[in-house]
Amino acid sequence: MAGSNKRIAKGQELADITTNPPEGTKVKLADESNIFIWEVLLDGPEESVYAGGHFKLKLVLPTNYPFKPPVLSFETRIYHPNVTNDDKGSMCLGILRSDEWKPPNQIRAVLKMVRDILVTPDIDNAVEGAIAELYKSNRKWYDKQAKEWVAKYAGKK
Amino acid sequence: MDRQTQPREMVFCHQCENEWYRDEHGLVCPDCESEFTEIIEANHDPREPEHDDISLPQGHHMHNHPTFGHDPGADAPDPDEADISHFFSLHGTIHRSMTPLGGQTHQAPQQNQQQNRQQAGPFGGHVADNFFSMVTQMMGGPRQMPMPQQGRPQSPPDQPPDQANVHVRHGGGNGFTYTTTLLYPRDANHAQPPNQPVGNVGDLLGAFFGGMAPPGGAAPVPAGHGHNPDGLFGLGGPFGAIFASLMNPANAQHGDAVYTQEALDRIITQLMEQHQSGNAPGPASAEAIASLPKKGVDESMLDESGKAECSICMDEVARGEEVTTLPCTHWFHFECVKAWLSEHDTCPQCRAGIMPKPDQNAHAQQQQQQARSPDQPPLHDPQWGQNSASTTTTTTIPGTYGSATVAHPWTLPDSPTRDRHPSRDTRRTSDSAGPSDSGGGSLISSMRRAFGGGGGSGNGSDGAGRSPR
Repeated sequence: MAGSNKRIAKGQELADITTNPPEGTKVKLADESNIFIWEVLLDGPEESVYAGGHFKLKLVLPTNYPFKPPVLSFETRIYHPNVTNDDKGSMCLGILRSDEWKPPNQIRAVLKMVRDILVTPDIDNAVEGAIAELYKSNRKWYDKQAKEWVAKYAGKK
Repeated sequence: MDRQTQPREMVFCHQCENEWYRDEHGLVCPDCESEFTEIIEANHDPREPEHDDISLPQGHHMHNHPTFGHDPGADAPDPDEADISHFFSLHGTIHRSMTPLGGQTHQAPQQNQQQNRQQAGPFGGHVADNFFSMVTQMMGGPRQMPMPQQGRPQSPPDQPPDQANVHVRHGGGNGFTYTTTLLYPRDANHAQPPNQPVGNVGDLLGAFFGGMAPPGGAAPVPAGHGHNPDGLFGLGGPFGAIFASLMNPANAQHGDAVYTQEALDRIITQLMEQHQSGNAPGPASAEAIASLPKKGVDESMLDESGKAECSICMDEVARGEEVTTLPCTHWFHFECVKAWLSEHDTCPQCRAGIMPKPDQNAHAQQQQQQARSPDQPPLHDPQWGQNSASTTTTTTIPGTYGSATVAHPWTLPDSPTRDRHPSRDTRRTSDSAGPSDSGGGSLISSMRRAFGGGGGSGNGSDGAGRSPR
């Protein structure tokens, strides 16, 4: 495990992502003394129904990162098929699944993926079946609902 | 007791649902003047369709009628007055318990179920019959007369009121026990002999829950236990077992049945884990990991800016630093890739396994051949293998990752070693420059030709066939 904790401890990935964050994101440690928990501020992509929203996400690195995937969750509530519709805000993201995770994956790619699924939800891997159904059957209503939630929970601060 | 000879008859209007005494207003409704009226009879009350099976004593309908105050003594000078009052206290509460019997009747402690057990065959064979008879009963269809019960003496006609409120009826099928807390027979349209009351409703409930408990799940219930006063709520009883398992989420699971969300979650988690382990490759063996070739970082592994890093730990590697190369040519620090491979037999980068899969050799070889890049020499080039170029430490046969490096089956003792280039570009250069091997024994050479090229072309097609790093 020589490389694992070194990768976190060295902080290169964190330094890289804080100084040069992916588009629409800001990353910092939630608590300066704990390098395993990152706080991600994500702007709703302009081309999505989440435009204008500011979402706070929590990214928890396992101690044996990168051999195990990080755990990402929305702290700001969001109406999205791939995010559980509760106060946990757990995410279903393909590359974060333990059987799909690969050590060379980087947080940068993960965050980019999050933005991508905000633009295009991954309906096949939805965790909220009802929202996925709505997305497929009544896109207008889904858009409306998602925007209402953005205004309600993810408004500008 | 004769409830039909009450002093006053009541008439019900189907049009406006009015009610009146016949001796006061006759048969025509005084309100709407409809003639669609009916004299209310004790065993056929048109006013309460939802209780159509309950036959109420005529005089006591006034009890619920706003016009007439409740005066049972005046309206019903009936010797069974106490009994009727008791009935009214139960008005509207009907308990029907259905007990599916059959395979699990060994847990049914109730005596009349012992009788059913004799009648009923295995549960599965009678499910349809039971269901049909249940429906038939509900529809008011033909039904069997109650069976005389075994082991319980016929109750005397002057049974105490509390027992008179409970009737057990056996349906047309064999598997259901019908209990109703009724004073009178439920079926007002058919004459029925006196029904057998059940002395203890708890017995029925116990039988119900006892019958529900899957075999092996709840604590075994000894036969005839229903008469054990502890049977219902004691720890050994069917209720006790059910409640105990309900209270203890760890046990709230009997075979395929779960009783709590937690138990369900646990089963789903278990299924997901099983699925995952069935899907993902297992760990690579320690030998296979240990025998992975190591080499120093060379020019070809550096990127345009002359840098390279181990993609697992993201540490920069210096030229000459020793890294471990996988059959798919991706390279990592040994410690890094070991940590991964000892849990998953996949390349962290491209997911190609390092473990040999003997039964897939032929197949893999085919794929290798299809994946040959155009700049490789023809498969059966007679010139192939004659001109030696570079050196190698290990020779890898297509499709035999790992094992070839372990056993070196294709490496000739006297042949110069050839380098396995981890970088695709370099390798292809060397390939196109002329695949290299000194040849050695003719047998080996011909075998190599038969397999469509040895290390050189194998490596080349290998690289071309896989996603570049």
